[in-house]
Amino acid sequence: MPRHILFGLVFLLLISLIGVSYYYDLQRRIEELVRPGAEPTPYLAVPPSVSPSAPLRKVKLFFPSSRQENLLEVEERDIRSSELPSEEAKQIVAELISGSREQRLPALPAETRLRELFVTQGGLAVVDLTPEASLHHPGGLTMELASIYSIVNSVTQNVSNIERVQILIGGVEVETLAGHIDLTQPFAEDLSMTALGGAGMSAHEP
Amino acid sequence: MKNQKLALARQRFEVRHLPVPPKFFTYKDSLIKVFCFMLLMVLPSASGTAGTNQFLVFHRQASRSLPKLLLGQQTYLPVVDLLNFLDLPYSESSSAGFIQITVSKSRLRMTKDQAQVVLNEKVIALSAPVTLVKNQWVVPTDFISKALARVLEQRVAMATSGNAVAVGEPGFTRLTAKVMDKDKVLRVQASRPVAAEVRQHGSRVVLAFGNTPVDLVGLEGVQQATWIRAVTFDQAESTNQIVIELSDGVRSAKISHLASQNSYIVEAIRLEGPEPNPSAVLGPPVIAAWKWRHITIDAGHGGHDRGVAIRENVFEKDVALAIARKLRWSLEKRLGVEVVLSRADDQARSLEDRIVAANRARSSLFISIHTGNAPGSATAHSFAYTTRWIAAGTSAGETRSAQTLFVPWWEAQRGSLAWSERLAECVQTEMNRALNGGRDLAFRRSPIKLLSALAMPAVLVEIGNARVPDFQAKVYSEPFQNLVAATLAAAVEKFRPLHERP
Repeated sequence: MPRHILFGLVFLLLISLIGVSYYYDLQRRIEELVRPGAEPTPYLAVPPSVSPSAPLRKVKLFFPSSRQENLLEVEERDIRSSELPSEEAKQIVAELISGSREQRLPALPAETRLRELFVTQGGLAVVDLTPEASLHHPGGLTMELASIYSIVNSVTQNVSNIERVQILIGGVEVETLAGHIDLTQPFAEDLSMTALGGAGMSAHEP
Repeated sequence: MKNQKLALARQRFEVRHLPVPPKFFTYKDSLIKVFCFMLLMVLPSASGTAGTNQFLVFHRQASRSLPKLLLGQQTYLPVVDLLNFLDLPYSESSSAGFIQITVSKSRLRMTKDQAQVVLNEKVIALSAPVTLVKNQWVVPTDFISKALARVLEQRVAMATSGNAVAVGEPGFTRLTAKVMDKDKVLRVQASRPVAAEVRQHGSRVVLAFGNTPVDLVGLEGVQQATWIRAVTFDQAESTNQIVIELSDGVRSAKISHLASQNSYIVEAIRLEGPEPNPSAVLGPPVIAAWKWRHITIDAGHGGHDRGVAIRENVFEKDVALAIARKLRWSLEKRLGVEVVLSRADDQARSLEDRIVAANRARSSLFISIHTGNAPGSATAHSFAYTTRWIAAGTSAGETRSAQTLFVPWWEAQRGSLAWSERLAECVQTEMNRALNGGRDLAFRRSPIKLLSALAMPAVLVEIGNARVPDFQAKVYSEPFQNLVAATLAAAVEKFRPLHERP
């Protein structure tokens, strides 16, 4: 075989080898990108920094009633106590997203995660939920109001330093959760939809 | 032998590589190509000549402009829009190529591509064939005078311009604009009492006649007038007005309404003259500011925002749109008020877009239609909602004083909230009677984003409960949607005399 053809074949073989190895490397890298990372702590994108040995404390969570429209019912849960209000509030929201254990309606879609929660000096808790809170919401004005006040009342009732709650979706302020209720303003506690408030949402009626 | 093989090979080669002989179909192909080319040349020119001019129809104190289509030399009108506006029943089939209109005992039947109308077996010739453009039935304009006028029990009057028709009494009020003094005075004379809204914007004086059918039949002496640049008669979408353009040397004009003589006098005020009294210039307002302009009906959600999933392939956005369309129909029919839909098809519109559109158009009323979703309830009651505010730093439900002089735009509803609540009462009362089984339910207040920024009486209506099987079964049915539309229209009808000051 002439030498120049031999060199040509060797060169082609090398190019082919480089191409094949590059292809497999690229495929591996794409798979790494597409493959979901480590599963986050359920319902929390960032785990709360609380000691696992911290004492437990009981909190009252509010879930929409499955028996009556515009009623939020109380369910008790245990969370780890913390000196930081935000860390307690994170656990409360995570428990809310995990759903009721007593056949009540979900406060938020199960696919939702809490992206971040922080508390400002004025007693304002900023609750940042993933977009699933909005995308998977069942819709309807009453369910939307129930979702919002489940969060607001659960957080403000159980964490003493929090008076108001601002809800963000995907890290940004949005107009509404499901097309109706104004989310651009912070919400204060409103127990009128609960048994504690006595009258359900009809308290707003004239 | 070798020669034979060579000859065979040459023959095969020649068979394979024979030039394609000219055939008859190549000529036919060329003809087809030429024809297609000509068609391509003609088609754009046909669609290009389709003008955007409007044809105005007046009927029962309302007006509707229809787009005029110019195909060749012939002007066409969309007949289904015309029939819908005149509230005439019809049946049509695009695939079968016919449309039939029934008015009491008379039947008008038209067949596609035929230049005639069959009126109770009698044939009436039209100037051009009836046809379908973009799946829409169109008829030549003489269809109105030659065919429709014969079956309608009401008077049908065409404007002299041929751009407008008035169906029903009293027909057109004839206007004549005459220059009385070439340096100073123009008189607009009407054939019967007529009210115009007088506006003046810089060098333009406008006499707007709203939904009153008027026709400018005469224009005298404008060419000689030194103080008038032009007088035009706009009769198109949302305009039905005489516009008087003043010359440069004229500061403004004084307009007087001589009601006893059915005329308006426009008098030039020249630059060297004394400063006029502004109220005298504009004259007394003929149409009160509170007269209803139009109503906005908002079909909730739309596009990718599907709202509540009511059942398989039935979403809140579709139900809301269907009810909104029926409500528009009911309101226009019962109240004779123009109704605007915030979305006319399945498109996503942000809340801000809807708010801006209604506020900018200075809508008189706003009704947003949604369906309810309450898994915790076994009932499917309907509720009207008004907005409320949750002020930062105050307890929930506490609202700021409505007496504030200036309010931010996103709280524009504060000025109309009392009216919104009156409207919500009317809506809730009607819904309790027709949809809630006679229960005495009250309307609700919620911090609703859409309503908070609207500067007019505004309510959101939630129909039924998507989780109730009975509601799921009937929500997409025509009778139920018609009932909802009729209920809401009845509520608006009750509210109108409370709010409007004609």
